[in-house]
Amino acid sequence: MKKFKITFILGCVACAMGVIASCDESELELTNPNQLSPDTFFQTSTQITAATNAVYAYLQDTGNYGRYQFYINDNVSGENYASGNLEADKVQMINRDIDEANNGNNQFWQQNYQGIGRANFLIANEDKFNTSIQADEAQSRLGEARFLRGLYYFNIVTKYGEAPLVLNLETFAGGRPKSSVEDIYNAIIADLQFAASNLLAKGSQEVGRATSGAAWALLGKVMLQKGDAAGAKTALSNVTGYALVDNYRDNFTVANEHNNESLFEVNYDESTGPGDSWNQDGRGNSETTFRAQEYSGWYNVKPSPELLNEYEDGDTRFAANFYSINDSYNGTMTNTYNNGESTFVSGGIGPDDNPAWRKYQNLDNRASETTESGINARVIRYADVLLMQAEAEIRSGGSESVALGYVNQVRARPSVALPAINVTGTQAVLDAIEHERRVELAGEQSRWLDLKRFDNDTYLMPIPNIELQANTNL
Amino acid sequence: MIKLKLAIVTLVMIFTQIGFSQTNTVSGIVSDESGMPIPGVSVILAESQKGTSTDFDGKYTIENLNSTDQLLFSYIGMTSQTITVGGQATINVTLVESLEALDEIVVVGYGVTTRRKVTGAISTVEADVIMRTPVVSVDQALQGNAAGVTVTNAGSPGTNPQVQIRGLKTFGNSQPLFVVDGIITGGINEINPNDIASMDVLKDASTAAIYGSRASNGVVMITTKKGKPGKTKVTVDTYISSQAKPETLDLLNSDQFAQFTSETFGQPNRYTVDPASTQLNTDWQDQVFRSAIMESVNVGASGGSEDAIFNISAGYLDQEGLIVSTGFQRSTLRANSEFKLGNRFKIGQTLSVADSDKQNEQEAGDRTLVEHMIKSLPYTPVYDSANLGGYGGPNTTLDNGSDAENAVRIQQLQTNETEELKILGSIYASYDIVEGLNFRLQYGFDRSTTANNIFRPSFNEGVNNRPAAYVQQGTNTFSSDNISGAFTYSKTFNEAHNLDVLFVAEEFKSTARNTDAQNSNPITDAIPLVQGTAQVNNTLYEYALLSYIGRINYEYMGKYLLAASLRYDGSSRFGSNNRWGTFPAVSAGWIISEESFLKESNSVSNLKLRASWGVTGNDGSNDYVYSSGLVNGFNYTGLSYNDGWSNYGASNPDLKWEQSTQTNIGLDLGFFNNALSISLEYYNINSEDIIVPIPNVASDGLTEGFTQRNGATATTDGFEASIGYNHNKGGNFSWGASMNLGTSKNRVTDLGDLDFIESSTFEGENLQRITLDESLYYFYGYQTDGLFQIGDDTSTQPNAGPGDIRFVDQNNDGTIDGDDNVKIGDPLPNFTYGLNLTANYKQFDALIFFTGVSGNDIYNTTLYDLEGMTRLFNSGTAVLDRWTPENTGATVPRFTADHSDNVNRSDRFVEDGAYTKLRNVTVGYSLSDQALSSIAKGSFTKLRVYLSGQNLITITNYSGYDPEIGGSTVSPNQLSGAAGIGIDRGNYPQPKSIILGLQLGF
Repeated sequence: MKKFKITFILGCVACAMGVIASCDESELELTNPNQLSPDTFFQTSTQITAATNAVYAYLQDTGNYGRYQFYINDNVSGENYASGNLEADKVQMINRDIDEANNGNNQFWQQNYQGIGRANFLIANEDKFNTSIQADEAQSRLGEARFLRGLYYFNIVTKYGEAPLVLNLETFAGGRPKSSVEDIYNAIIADLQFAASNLLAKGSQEVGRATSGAAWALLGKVMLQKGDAAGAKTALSNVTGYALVDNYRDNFTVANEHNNESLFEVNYDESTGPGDSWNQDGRGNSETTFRAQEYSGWYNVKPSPELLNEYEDGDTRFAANFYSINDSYNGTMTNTYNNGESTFVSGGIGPDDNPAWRKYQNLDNRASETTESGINARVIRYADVLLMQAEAEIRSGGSESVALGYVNQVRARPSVALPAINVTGTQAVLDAIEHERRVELAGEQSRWLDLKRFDNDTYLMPIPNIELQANTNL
Repeated sequence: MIKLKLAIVTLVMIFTQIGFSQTNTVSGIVSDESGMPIPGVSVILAESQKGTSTDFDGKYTIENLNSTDQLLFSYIGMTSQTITVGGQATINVTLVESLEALDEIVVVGYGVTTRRKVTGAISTVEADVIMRTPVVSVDQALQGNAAGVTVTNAGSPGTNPQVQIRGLKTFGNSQPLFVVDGIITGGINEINPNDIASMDVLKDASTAAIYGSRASNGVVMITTKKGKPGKTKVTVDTYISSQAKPETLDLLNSDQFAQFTSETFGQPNRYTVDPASTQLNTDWQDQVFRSAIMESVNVGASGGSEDAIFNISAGYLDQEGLIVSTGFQRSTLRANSEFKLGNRFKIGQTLSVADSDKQNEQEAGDRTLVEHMIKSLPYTPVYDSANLGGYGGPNTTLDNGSDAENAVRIQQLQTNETEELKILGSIYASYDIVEGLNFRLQYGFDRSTTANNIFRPSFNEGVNNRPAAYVQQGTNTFSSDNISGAFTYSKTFNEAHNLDVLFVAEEFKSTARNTDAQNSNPITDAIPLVQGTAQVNNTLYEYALLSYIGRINYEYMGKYLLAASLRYDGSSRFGSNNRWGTFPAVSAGWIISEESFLKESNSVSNLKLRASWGVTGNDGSNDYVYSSGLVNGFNYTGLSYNDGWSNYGASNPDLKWEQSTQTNIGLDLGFFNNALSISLEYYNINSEDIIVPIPNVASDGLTEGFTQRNGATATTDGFEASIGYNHNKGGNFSWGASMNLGTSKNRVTDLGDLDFIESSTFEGENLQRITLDESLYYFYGYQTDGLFQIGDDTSTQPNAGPGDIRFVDQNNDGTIDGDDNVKIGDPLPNFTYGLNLTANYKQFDALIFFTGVSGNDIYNTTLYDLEGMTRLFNSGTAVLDRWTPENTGATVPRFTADHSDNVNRSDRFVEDGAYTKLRNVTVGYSLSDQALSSIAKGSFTKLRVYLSGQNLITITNYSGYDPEIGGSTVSPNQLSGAAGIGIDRGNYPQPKSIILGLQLGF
């Protein structure tokens, strides 16, 4: 009996210990209930759309089209000169002595890579997509993310050359080392080829999102920049369904956003107000750009004499792109001058009387600029595509007349209506293309890349401190 | 315990003489000092081992004794007494509590042992020491009473002190683990100090490692009072305390302010528009500070039988704060009991309920109340019935932008109260399976509900106003459950080998839910509640810990001690790759005084050498730190659905606990029957894998700038000494002195790729830094070198002129810039100490108790407010003696409209923080047994009155209110833990108080 009792007690004890010991490791696997976990995301269309939207957000930020995309390109390329107001980091851009501490350099690097990070979040989690998500929809969203990742990497590779290539969500102890320019271009091309094949065409796609046309155009641009003119020619031949708009100015106003000429834009909306525009984390209502205030509100920069001199006599694009003394403003937007309510007079056009930027400005329809401009940044438009087609044609050993045909389409736009160019010889045709790009695409972040293709410009920005301080493998 | 008795018997056999004469019978009662009979006292005829023990009423009878026989009365924890029988038939004995530490019961993790067997470093603070100085919270009682334990009190009523055991070892969580009656608990502010029987501080790794991943900051074991078999004892303990208004800083009065501003900022418009109003002279310190009362009543009853013991108590405390409308009220109830069912089975429970209400000191606009008080203009009235809300303050048009808020209004018009209800309890069952083998099952729980109610009615005092009432209600519910099963096995082999084995399996889980609601009410100030549309935030945090624990203690011949333990912990706070950790410890002791060559010594009564090594962890980071969730707000305009969700930070599945490896060497010395006892310790702690915020690599594309990673190492070492002397040669007078001190020195030995970590932002600058080879959280800034005088070369500081502060050009590059910032102070004391002097003369008792710290600095931002002259604020009178071309000998720099350089973070604001406080001085009087028996039919067993003074004298060079800076309000920036330590942001001073107390026993 006593033995039984002891056995019973021991049994109870073992039972009690068992209760404790049975708490297996799964009890320690607690997920944070306060936040959504990446492990449980991607279950609905809306969630996948939300993850896609986040990839776009970094295009709007100050490191990109909110501020530094235009300063870096336009200043380094010599399209701008500094008025006395310009801050030191932007003066470095004009002087081409950008250092590692340069604020714009740091923001541009960080926000393009953050855009890449948001893209990677969608792309690397494809295996987590709920099976109920339609394959078309999933591929289309992935196409958007890969289009944008290609665009962000194109920003990186053209401004920095060799750089870390991050295509997944894994963190790398101490940071990744640099990848070669070729590897980065190959990754961009793979992304854009996927995007071009999987994205919806303009008309089918929701306005504001990336389209297959945009992906082909960007792929052409990337291939041209990489030096593959034949590849560019093929890619650009797939860009269909676009046309030049009659009025050149309609490419730079709020009223005519996403018009027939537009392939891809960065969306802004003035009504969202100043809100979070200075934020640099992609979040909040950072839906406005500082472009208008910086260029012709504060007149921090003005178009350089070299750029102004590039315009032929009678090129109406001069007046469309620049304000000069006696130009009308604050009236209706027309191509006729001196008939508006106000005109620029001495002192009203910044710290000197030299012409100022009109492109992407709001002064035509209101009294003053603010830090919140809602004019979408046109990243690629059809005039650019035509000029790229001209360049791809001639660089791939094609026909001079076909190439000049593209250029002359741009010159024949009704509001421009310049006579056709008729020159012979590869170099002369290339010169004509370069000229046409300078005047047509002035202030549209094209010139620095053009200089690299046409004039052997090899200047790059140094990888900034924000990377160097944490990345021990550079 | 049995062994102990045997040892005593043996000793007695050796030392007592043998003799026979006539035989008789002796009986009597053995009681303690308070007159309570003690059951179970061993009464042994010295050389014969013949003996008995006292019964339930403390009575004994022994027959057949000779008059020369000697009776030895012994009881654990009491000083044994030997009495020669002589011709007496009745021998009543009063045993006094043992002053020898040797046999003291020491509470360790998952068990108890005796001081003799301890091989690690444990400081014990007994109830009588805790009760000696009335304290509000338990941990305050550790100050100055436990070597190596640094306690920094906060003056604000109901605010817990900061406790550090053996200094600071990490940048992260530095809070010790608190274990109450075997139950790990989140906080101890709700525990009534009157209920404490003892506190044992496990300082070294060998004693703390049994708590594994939570033990690296040391463990405080709190044991609450249990009953003793015998007559029911009732105690009443009450005191009333008068807390004096603090000494004031010298601020400008209205006339001085007028003089100062006319020479500097230009006199405010008020002097021309409304000159009459400038005649008002408000002493803001006098309005904000007050003298205050504190009252406490505690009633307890304890007792029981052989089979059931109990202890119940109730307490109430009401403390007014020195700052108006601050205070703390706490009601506590406790019931502990234990029951024996037969010889083998025991069940018991502990339960405490505490309900408290705290009226907080309030901040406003990132400034502390004291800062507002200093900056307030002397000619603005406290009250102004013309204003909405009824309070005065700087006027928008009259006072030129001065914007200090009315500190009295902040406290009186606004409410910020914290209500807490806490229930802490346990139930346990213990069964002796076979001789020596015991199983104990324990379930403990901790439940608390904390409500923070903030109500700010509308007001308009001029510059500062609130158009609509603001209400915020936060509710936090915390619950933890702890279940453990423990086997213990204890056996002595061949009378020489003693073995104790422990095995425990344990599970701990906690859940914290927080709901915070806030809104504005533009309609009325009458409803201090959140109603209708509100901004509501709800959070939930869970934590789970699974543990397996083993320990072996081996003792040979009562003089060689060996112990080893191992804990295997799994924690939910760490990543899947590092969820489990192993925490080993070993230790050894040699009781040299038990060796034959010392055993006979008359002078050396104890000599013991101890050494230990062990590994402990610190998982006191936040929950889910290893994971990273998704965030929204990546909006992209122009789309039909335009919210964006994405990843944010980096998850870190490799995150693991900080790990401390500690070595301890200790020496215990006792002389003259341990009248003089000395304990010395040396320790060395190496803390690895300290969790630091490592900047994310930008190209990884994460939005959050930092990821918590294990990335730093620090070492801490120090000495501790405790010396005690008790002079008790019988007679009317006895006295004792005890002193303890601890040193601690830490150094960062690895910071990975980080050059530094900054923390503690004040006025846009980070005051503290962590860098390689330096101590933690040192103050960082410019070193000053007096003031520039007329004609001095100011080329290093182009903005400076005569009367401005000269900063030292550390790198001699001819320019003062960021590179010239250096270490300008160290907030951590080199050593902390306590000194107790006690004396008894007849029915009088007296205590003098000093505590202090040395070698630390304080960054005094109050000085910034007093002498900074940054804006049109009131200032200290020192600004009247500022540098001017006529007063070139001044130490306060000149006034400049551009003040920025003179108030840069610099050693100008760093002061010596060393202090010695006369923490307590007490005189008490207890009625003698005779007197007690003559009143109320002898129903009283104790009646003591005492008069006590707390914090009466503070010896310090520090210029602020109080050099004891408990709790800092600076923004910790990237770090948590002890960041902000030693920065005085207008710290709530501790009161000087006079206490009158009464202790009764029935």
